[in-house]
Amino acid sequence: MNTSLATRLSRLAQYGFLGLLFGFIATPMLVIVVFSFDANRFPTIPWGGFSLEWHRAILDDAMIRDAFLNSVLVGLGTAMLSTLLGFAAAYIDFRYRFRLKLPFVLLVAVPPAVPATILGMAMLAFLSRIGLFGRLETVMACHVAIATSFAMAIIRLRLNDLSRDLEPAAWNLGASPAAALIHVVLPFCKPALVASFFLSAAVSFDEFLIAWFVGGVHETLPVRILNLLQGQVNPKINAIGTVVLVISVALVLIAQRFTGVRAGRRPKPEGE
Amino acid sequence: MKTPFIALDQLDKRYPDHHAVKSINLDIDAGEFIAIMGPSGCGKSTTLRLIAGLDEPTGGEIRIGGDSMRGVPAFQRNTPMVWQSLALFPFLTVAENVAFPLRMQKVGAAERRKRSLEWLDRLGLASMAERNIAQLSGGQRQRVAIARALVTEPSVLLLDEPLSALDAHLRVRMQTELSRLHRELGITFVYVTHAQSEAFALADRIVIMSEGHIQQVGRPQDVYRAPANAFVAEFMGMNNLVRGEVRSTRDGVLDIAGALGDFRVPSATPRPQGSKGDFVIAADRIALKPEADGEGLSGTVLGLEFVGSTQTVFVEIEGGAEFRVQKQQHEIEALNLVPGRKVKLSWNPEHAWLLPQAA
Amino acid sequence: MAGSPRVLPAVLGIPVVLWQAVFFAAPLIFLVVVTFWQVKSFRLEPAFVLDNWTRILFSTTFQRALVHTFTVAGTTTVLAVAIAFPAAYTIAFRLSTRARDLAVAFLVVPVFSSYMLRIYAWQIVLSPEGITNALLGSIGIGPLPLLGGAFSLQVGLLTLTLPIAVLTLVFAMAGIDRTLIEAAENLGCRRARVIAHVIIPSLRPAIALTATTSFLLAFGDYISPLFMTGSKPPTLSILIVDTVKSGSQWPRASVIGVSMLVMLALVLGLGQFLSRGRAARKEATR
Repeated sequence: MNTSLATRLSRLAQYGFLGLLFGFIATPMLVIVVFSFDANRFPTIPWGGFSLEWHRAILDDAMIRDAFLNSVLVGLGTAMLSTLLGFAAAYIDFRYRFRLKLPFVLLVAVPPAVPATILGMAMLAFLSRIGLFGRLETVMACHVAIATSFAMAIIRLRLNDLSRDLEPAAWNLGASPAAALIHVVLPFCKPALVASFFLSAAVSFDEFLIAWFVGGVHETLPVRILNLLQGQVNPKINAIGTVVLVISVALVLIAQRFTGVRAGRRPKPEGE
Repeated sequence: MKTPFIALDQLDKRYPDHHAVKSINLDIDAGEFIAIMGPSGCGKSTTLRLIAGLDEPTGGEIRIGGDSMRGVPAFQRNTPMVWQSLALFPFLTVAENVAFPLRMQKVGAAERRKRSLEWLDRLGLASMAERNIAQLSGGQRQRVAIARALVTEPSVLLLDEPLSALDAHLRVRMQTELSRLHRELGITFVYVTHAQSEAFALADRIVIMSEGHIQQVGRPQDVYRAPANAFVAEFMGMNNLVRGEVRSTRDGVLDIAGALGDFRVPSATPRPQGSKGDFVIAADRIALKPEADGEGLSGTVLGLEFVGSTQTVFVEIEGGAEFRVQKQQHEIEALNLVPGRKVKLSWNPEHAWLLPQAA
Repeated sequence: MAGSPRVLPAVLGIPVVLWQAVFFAAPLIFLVVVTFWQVKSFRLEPAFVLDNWTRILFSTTFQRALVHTFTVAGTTTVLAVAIAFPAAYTIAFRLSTRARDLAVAFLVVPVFSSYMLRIYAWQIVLSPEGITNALLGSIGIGPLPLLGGAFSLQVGLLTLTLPIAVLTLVFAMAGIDRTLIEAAENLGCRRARVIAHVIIPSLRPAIALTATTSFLLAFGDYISPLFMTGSKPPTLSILIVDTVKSGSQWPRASVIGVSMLVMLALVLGLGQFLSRGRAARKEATR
C-alpha cells in the first residue's frame, strides 16, 4: 500500500511538473491573444473588457499593412525557393557520391546554427558592398539561405523511404534521369515538399534580425513589431501579435501534418 | 550462322570492392527463354543490370539486335525489367503504373489509357485499374509489374528473381502465366533466379554462373544429366560427386579407382592412366537395397527429406562421403528406411557421367 | 551511374551552392576580412591592421560582456537540461502514444513561431504594473521587481530553449531500447537507479546535444537581453548591435562576431567530445 501511494504521488508530481512546463510555454501566447481583445490601453489586470478596437486600429495603420504585405511576399518567395533548393540539396545528398559532399551538406545545413545577430551583420556588411542592401528581394534571399536547411532536412528524411529500385525502374521504363526526377522522385516527395513549403514560410515569417539588418526601409511585420516594441507602449502590438501568432502557428501545424515525423503516424501513399 | 539477338562479348564488370562479372560470352537467340542461375553473388543480377544499362560495363560489349549498346543509356534501350522488389510507383494507380512507360514515350493520354487497360485485361486485372498499389495482393502487384514492363511491346523482357516474394502456390501459377506470355508474345525472356525449379519449368536454356564466370550453358536436362564440372554438378543438388583416378580404358569404359572403391564409367574418349576421373551419378538413378543383398556401396541412412511426392534419402557411405538418393514414397515404405538403417547403393554404370577434363 | 549525364547533378547542385555561397558563406568570410579593415571618416576602407582585434579583446567592456554572456548562457544550459529531462521522461515513458504526439506537436509550434512576441508577453506578465504584480498586489504582496534582472533574463532564454531541449530529449528517449529498462527493473533496480544507470548513460549524446543547442541559442540571443534586462549589462549580441549603430564601427563589431563564432565552435567541439568520450571508452573495454 505504501509503495502504491508513493508511486501515485510520484506520477502526480511528474504530470504536475509537465503541466507547469506546458503552462510556461503556453502563457506568453495566451497573454498576447487575450490582451489583444482588452479595451485597456495598458495590458494588465483587471481586464478592461472585450474590444476589437486594436484589431481595427492595425487595419488602419498603413505601415503595418505594408509590413504585412512585405512579410507575405518574402514568406511566399522564401517558401518556394527554399523548397526548390532544399529538394535539390536533399536529392544530391541522396543520389550522388562525391568528394566534397560533407562541405556541400554543411553549406546548406549550418546557417540556422549561426546566431542571427552575427549572420545579419555579416549579410548586411557583404551585401551592401555588392549593392543588394535595402531590398525586399535581399531579405528573401537571406531567409532562403537559412530556411533551405530545414527544407533539406525534411525532404532528405522522406527520401530515406524511397525504395532504391524506384528510380532505376523509371529509367528502365524509358524515363531519362530528369524525367524520373520529375515523374517519380518529385511526386514521391510531395508530402515533404508541402511540409517544407509551410515550414520555410513560418521561418521567414518569424525572422526579424536579418530582415531588420538587410531590409533597410522595407520592414517586414516582425521588424515593424520590433520597432514598435522599442518605442512607447502600444496596444496595437497585442493585436498584430495575435495575427502573427495565428499565422505562424497555422503554418507550423500544416507543415507538421505533412512531415510524418510523429511517432506511429505517416501520411498514406497517395493515388492521383 | 544467324546472328544472336543479344550478344555478350567479353562482358566484364568490376566494382571498387569486387569483380562481379569476369569477361563472359553469351549469345541469346531471338524468342528464347533463357534462365541465368547461380548462388547469390555469382554475378547473375549484375549481368541483367548490364544488359538493361543500369550499370556500365568495365570491359567488353553488349549487342542487342546487332547494335552495340556502348554509351546507350538505360532509358533508350527498351529492355524493360520486372524487379524483385517490383518497384511499382506507390503514388500512381494501377492503370497509371502500367501507362508510365507510354507517358515517357509521349504517347497521348487516350492512347495510353487504352493500351494500359488492354494489358491489364490480358493479365486479368481489368477491374483493378483505378486501385492504389497498396490495395493489391502480392500476386496482383506481380501482374501489374509484368503489364508495365510489356506495355511498350518490347522485344526482350528482363526478369530479376520476379517470383521470390510470392508463396509457393502463387509462384507456380505465375510460372504458368509467364510461360503462356512467352509463347504468345514470342519475345526473348532473360530470367534471373536462384530457384532451380523455376529455371527448369520455364527456360529453353540455362546459364549457370559462379564467381563471375559462366560455368555451363545448355538445355535444362543436359545441364542436369551432363554437368560440365564439379561446381555445376553440386549446384544442381540432386547429383552425387565421386572423385577418382583413371586406372585403365577399354571399349569406351573407364575403370576408376577412388576413396570409395572401384567403378566403371562410360566415356566416349579414352583417358590416360592416372588422370582425373571424377564422375557424377544422379540421385534418382541410384538403387537402394537392404544391406544383406549383393554388391554396391555400404552406407547408413542419416535422414529423409520430403520434396513433393518424392523423398530424398541422405546416406552416409563407409569412407566418409554423403550421398543423396531420390525415391518415391512407396519405395521408402517398402524398404522401411529409417535413420540408422544399413543399406547398399548401386547404379547402372551407363548412368554415371564422367566430368569433362578441365580445358 | 549509367545513362545519367553529368548535367543533372550540375543543374541541381550549382544553384544551391551559388545561393549558399553568396548569401551565407561569403558574408561570413567577409566578416573575418573586415576585422582587419579600417574605418576612416565613417567609411570602411580595406587595410590590414590588428588594431580592431587588440582594441576589442583588451577592452574591459568586451571582457565583462564575455564573462556575462558565458555565465548567462551557462546558467540557461544547466536549467534547460535540468527542466527538460524530467519533462521529456514523462512524455516519453508515461504518456500514451496519442498524448505523446500531441505533446510533440505542441512543442514544435513555439520552435518556429513568434519568439519575439512571446518575450514581449513576458514583459506584460512580469513588469512592475504587470499581471503578476497585479495578482500579488491583490493579496498584499509586492510589487516585486520581477523584470530587469537575472530572473527575467532566464525566463526569456528558457522560453527560447526549453521547447527544443524537451523535443531533442523526447526523440532520444523514444529511441531507447525498452527491453534494457525492463531487464534492469527485473533485476531489482528501483526506478531512480534505472534512470541513473540505464537511461542517462544511453542518452549521453542526446544530453550533450541538448546542452550545446541550449548554449548556442542562449549565447547568441539578442531579444531576451534587450527586452528582459534592457541591455544592462550588455551581452555580446547587444554589444555587436550597439557597436554597429554607434559610428559604423563595422570592424570592431566583426571582431566581436568572429570571436563569438570561434567560441561557439569550441563549445560545439567540447559537446562532441563529451558525448563521444564515453562511447569510445566503452569500445575500449569491450
